Amino acid sequence: MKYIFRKQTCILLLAASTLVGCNDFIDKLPENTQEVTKVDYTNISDMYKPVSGVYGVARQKLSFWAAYGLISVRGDDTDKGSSANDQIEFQYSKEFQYNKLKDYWALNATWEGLYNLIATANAALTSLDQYSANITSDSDKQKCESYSAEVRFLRAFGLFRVTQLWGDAPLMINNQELGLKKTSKAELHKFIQSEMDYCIAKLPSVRPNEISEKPGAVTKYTALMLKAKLALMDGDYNTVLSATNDIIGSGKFSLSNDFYQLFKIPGKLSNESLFEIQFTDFGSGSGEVVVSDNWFAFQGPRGGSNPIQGWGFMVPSQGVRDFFASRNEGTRAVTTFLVTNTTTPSGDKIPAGQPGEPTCYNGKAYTPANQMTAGRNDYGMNNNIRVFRYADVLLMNAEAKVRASQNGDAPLNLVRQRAGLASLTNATVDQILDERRAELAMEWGERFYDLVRTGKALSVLTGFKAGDEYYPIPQRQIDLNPNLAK
Amino acid sequence: MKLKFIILLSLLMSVTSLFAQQKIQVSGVVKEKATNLSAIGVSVKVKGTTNGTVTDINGDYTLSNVPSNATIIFSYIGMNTAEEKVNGRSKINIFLTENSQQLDEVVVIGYGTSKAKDLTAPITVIKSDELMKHATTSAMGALQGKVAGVQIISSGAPGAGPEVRIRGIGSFGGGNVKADGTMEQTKPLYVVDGMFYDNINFLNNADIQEMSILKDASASSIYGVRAANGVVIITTKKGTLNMKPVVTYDGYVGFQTATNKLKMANSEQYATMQIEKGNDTDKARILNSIKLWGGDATKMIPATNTDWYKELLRTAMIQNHSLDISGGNEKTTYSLGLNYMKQEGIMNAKNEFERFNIRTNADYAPYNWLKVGANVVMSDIKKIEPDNTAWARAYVAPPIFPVLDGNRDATILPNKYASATQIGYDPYFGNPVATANYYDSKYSAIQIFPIFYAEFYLLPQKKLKFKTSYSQDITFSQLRNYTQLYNVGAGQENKVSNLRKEDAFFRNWILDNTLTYQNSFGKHSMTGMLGQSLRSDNWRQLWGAATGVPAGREEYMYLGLGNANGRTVGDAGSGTRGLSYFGRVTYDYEGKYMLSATMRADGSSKYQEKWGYFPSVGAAWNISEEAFMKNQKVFDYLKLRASWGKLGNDKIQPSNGFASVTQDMGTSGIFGPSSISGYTNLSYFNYLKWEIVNEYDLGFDAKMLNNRLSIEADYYHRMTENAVFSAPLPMGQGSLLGNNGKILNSGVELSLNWSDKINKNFTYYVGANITTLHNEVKDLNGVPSLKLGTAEYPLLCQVGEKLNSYYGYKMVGVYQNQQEIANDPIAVANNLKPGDFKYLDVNGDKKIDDNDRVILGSYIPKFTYGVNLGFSYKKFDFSVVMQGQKGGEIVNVKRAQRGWQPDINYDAAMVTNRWTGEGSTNSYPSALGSINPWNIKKFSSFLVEDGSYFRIQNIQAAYTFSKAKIGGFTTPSIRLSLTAERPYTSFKSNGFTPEVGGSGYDNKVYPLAATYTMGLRIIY
Repeated sequence: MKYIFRKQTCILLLAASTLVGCNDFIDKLPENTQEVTKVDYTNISDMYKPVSGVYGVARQKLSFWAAYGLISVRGDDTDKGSSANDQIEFQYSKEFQYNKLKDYWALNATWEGLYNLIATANAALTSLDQYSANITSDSDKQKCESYSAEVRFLRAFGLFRVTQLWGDAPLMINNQELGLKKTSKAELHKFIQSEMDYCIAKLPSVRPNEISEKPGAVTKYTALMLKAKLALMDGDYNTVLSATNDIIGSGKFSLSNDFYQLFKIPGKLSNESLFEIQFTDFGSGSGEVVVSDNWFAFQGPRGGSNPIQGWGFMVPSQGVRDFFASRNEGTRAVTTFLVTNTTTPSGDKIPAGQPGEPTCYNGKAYTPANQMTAGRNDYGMNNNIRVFRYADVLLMNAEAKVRASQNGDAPLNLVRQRAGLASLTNATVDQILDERRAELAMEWGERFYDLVRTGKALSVLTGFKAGDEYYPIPQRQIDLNPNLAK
Repeated sequence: MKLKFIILLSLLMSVTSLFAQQKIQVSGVVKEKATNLSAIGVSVKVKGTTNGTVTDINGDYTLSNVPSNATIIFSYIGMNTAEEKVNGRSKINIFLTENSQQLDEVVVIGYGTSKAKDLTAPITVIKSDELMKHATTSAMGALQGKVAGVQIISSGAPGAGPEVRIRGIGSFGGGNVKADGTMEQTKPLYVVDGMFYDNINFLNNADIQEMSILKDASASSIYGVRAANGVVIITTKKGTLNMKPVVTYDGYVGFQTATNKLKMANSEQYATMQIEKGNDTDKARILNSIKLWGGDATKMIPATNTDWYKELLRTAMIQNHSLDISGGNEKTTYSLGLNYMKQEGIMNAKNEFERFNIRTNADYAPYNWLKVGANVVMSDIKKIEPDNTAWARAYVAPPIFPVLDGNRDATILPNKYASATQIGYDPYFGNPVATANYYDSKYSAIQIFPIFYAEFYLLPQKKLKFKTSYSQDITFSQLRNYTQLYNVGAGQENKVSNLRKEDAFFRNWILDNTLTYQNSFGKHSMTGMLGQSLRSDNWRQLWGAATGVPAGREEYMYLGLGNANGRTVGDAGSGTRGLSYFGRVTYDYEGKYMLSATMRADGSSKYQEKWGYFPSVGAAWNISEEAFMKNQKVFDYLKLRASWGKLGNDKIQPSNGFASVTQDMGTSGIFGPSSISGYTNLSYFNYLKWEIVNEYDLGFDAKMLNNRLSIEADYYHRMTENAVFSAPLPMGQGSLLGNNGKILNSGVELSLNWSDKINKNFTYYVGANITTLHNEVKDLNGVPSLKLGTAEYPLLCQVGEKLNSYYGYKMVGVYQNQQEIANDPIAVANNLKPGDFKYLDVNGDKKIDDNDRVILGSYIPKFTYGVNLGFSYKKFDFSVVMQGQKGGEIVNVKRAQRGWQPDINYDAAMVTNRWTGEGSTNSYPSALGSINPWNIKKFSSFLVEDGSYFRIQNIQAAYTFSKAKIGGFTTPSIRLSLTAERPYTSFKSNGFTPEVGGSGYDNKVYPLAATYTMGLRIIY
């Protein structure tokens, strides 16, 4: 027994000795995740990664179908579409019954998406600062500043959408401060304009499709355009004029000859494009594909078969179709209106809907079946979403000139000629606004914002009252941050 | 050497016998006192020796070499052990009395055992027999209604285990509700032969010898950080020393059939609703159906009337066969088991669950100071998974289109399924039968659980014991999903075949070392235990996908046979580690006063604060042992218990404690035809402190009226401190785990059991248990309330209220006429019509806004209960288990779906109860109102339903043929049984089941199944 006991004691001691130094055992990081603090910020060749990350997030958040619906449905060019009861909140939105929208999930999701973009950009700027601290050469320093400018543009664009939708809203530039109060619309605009000044100074003076290593990235001219658009909303026509003059004066941009193809695959990143949300199927009929958050399907024709089918929302109103007809619009009508029971120039049959369903869909969201990569089967797959077009620059320039008592015919007539319309002389502001109504129909609520900024909304839009420019802040956000109620 | 030893031994023995008394042969018969029946398999042993035998089929035994002054010990599980002095007799007959209290029985506790009567904590033990009564695929399912304080919520899916909550919800860690509605973090810890598991779905009911459910902190805190949700210790079957081989076959075959199918609207009802909504599109679709497939166009009633649930359901077979051999000799015990189970799913498509288990267990004591053992379970699982989205589609699909339409064109392939898009519906509506049949997903897994252990006895009489054990859980799993080419219509089409494979490898292990000392000094007994444990959990996964893989044969299912371009791969993994030191001291004075204390120090890689400390103490006073109790007749046994302890929880997601980087296609920009790799580093992080449950328990156990009535009662008070749950962040920044507050769960558990024998032929028992649950948020880091949940279904977490209470508008009636509308500024402002809801204007400001929201209920029940009863008459026995819950609300998320898609089918109650005119109803909207967001999209009391239910859980009738000698052959004992599992459930909510789980969001769209089986048990 003694012997046994001794042997056992040895085993015990052995076991006990395994315990020593075990504290290291639980010093373990979670698997499959990298700490931000361990990112190698000295590796300057990775410096574009956080910037590309913001583009990735922007692509998703800016193509959210319901956000697009909320932005565009209020104009007199757009009807809710689909069947009468489907997504009825868009109808409330169109009728400015905002009290029914405070609990609308999509209004909240839109808010969350845009602020998520803004916060992602904030975090990317912090990363760029870290790379910047390790930079030694002047060329890398410039690169870093240019990258920062790309991120700051995307952040400002997110804020631009926020202020378009809500007016006064929080200015979120520090991710650690989430209990924010609202900043006035004027202050937000001022902030965006000063950001654009930075972007204009730091971004390359090229057309977006000219950057071979990253076609379609934002450039100085994209920033100038945002500056102009914001100034237009504020009625600051001097800024509109100078910014658009800068874009036009660069000589880099031109209108696409084929208005119909401009919105289709051949029109991706044309010389007319200043900003697009980009998607791709990588040229392959199978495997990875990068798609929108249902932006295309949301607007696809109902009752068809793949790939020409979707949910049938955000359709051209009878008003805008009559307006086009009265102007004898040719290519713009064919492009903008996807009329049911007809066959498109590309050979797709648009099926007739059920009674009460739309008779026409948004043609600017249409990608013909024969342009799709074989094997891809969803509406709009591989197409981009057009956001800023040179045509808008020309029309803003024309309007700013006329408002500054100059002649705006030259830029205006460029747009008209492309549409196959006769030139105008000594065009008035109203003629230019009509031109905008036709050229930019069904695009990003342009018509609604034109009506609002010109004060015509009250007379043109049924149910519109002062204050209806902006949606209520989602109840969910007030629940999470009561400061927003103030 | 060996020879010498034997000679020495025999010499020694003969010398001893010289001094000993004369040796005789003793025989006799052992019977059960109550029944006067032969007691079979009773261990008969000469005290202080290894000389022993067991009684045979007639209760007879013969022992030779018995010293005439020796004492013989008769022992059998469930019986009081008897000792009898031989005093020279050669014939000793004895009656054993039943030990109904099982007080001397050894109960498995954490890292050790204890006699039931010495426990200071409430521990419920469930024996194999109880589990075997149930045709459940998971052993936990067999406990429903049986154990006070344990709430079991069955899921109903084939092969899936139930959700188990011990004493409410101990932790809210992460608060994440998974897609299937269960909350990851509320699972108890399962300890199977020393190894930790999250579920025991791999075990066969027949593999389990017993389960100990540790309910309070003093029992479970020895498991420290894993114990916050309670602990279930499971011992698999083992042999017994000196036991003849016992061969047991146990099996059942039967069928499952859907119960409580929710009645959906038929074509006529659906058409009525659509027409009453009064818009052209809805009417056109009805007419389209009539045009295509027939019907009455004037009355607008389509001939097509598809009951999608009927189309999707079938009666499904279930079978289970187990074979077990156990036995032992003087030094070895063994147990071998085989089990095969096959369960078909009730969805009428190819889906089934198959499990083949092999279990081996052997213990060997080569020396008096050493015992070694190994226990290996291998489980081979194959599942053909159903596509559960088919149920969801059946819930929404309009009844006015058929399953098949032979007239469809050639593009519809391979089967001519009909599509709702044929009559103008949105592609949202798929054909549910096509969904079920075009799904092809196979899962297989090999799980191996090898456990090796060794016990060293360092002092005589096993006073000091060192045990080391190494337990592993090794799982290889493979999943393959194949989507063939098919076309049913827009939105339900697959143009390129698609194969996805996932291989996963799990490897968890635990290394435990414990040193246990036990001794008695006169009236004092004590035990002490010290231990140390290392734990590692690892999971790795690799997946790949390809398109264009040819269909037709399983042999084609390789990514390499698909398109070369566009193949994708990915991987994932997790790994956590734990290191613990623990100890326990128990002290017992004369069996009257018991004290126990435990302490555990846990280190976890999941928390930034690496170490947590979990003490507990427990005390018990066995009043019935006191002298002053000797003369009373009421109590046979009475024990008071009190305990306190702390528990930890690491079933939270590992906290990064740092901002992390995300890199994938979603965080990479697209530029022209390609992407540029990008990352985002937007993540919020928190320094997590240990979540601690502070629990005390007061209780008593009593046996009364000649042991016929037994009572167990406990009051528990569990305070979760530093409760970890994720709170949403404003500004769309997701949500963040944090130590967000303090939550109380308290209540009373009461079990009453009455059992009696009327005569030797008839015995019966009645048992009832009830558990109350009071849940209250005590603190939220100083804030009065937090608003959680989602934008659609907000939850309110408010100090003084139940955690995660539903928060919305209170529906107080339906506007009945235009006058009522005109008189109410709220109705006017919101363009309401008669047939729309009237909400409570809480602040009376004549507006309905966010200030009018109130708490509408909570998923936490007021109490749960169970009733067990049964009787046996001669060889026939019968038992019933019933259980239910009172209180607790659930949210009818299914109805709310109409807010997103107005054309979905109605449950029949929405149609028959709808408002049709003044005075028709004050609780349901009109047809038009059913799609008004005012009624359906505001989260209101209309969607909150009573979650109470009552169920007959199990009925069993059985007949046993006992062993009999026919000539030289002994027939085995045979038991035939008929069992009904879940034959009847009664509930009020408008759903398929009241057992929703998670936070009570009822999105369950498939019926529960009742199982009827015929069972056979043969013991030889």
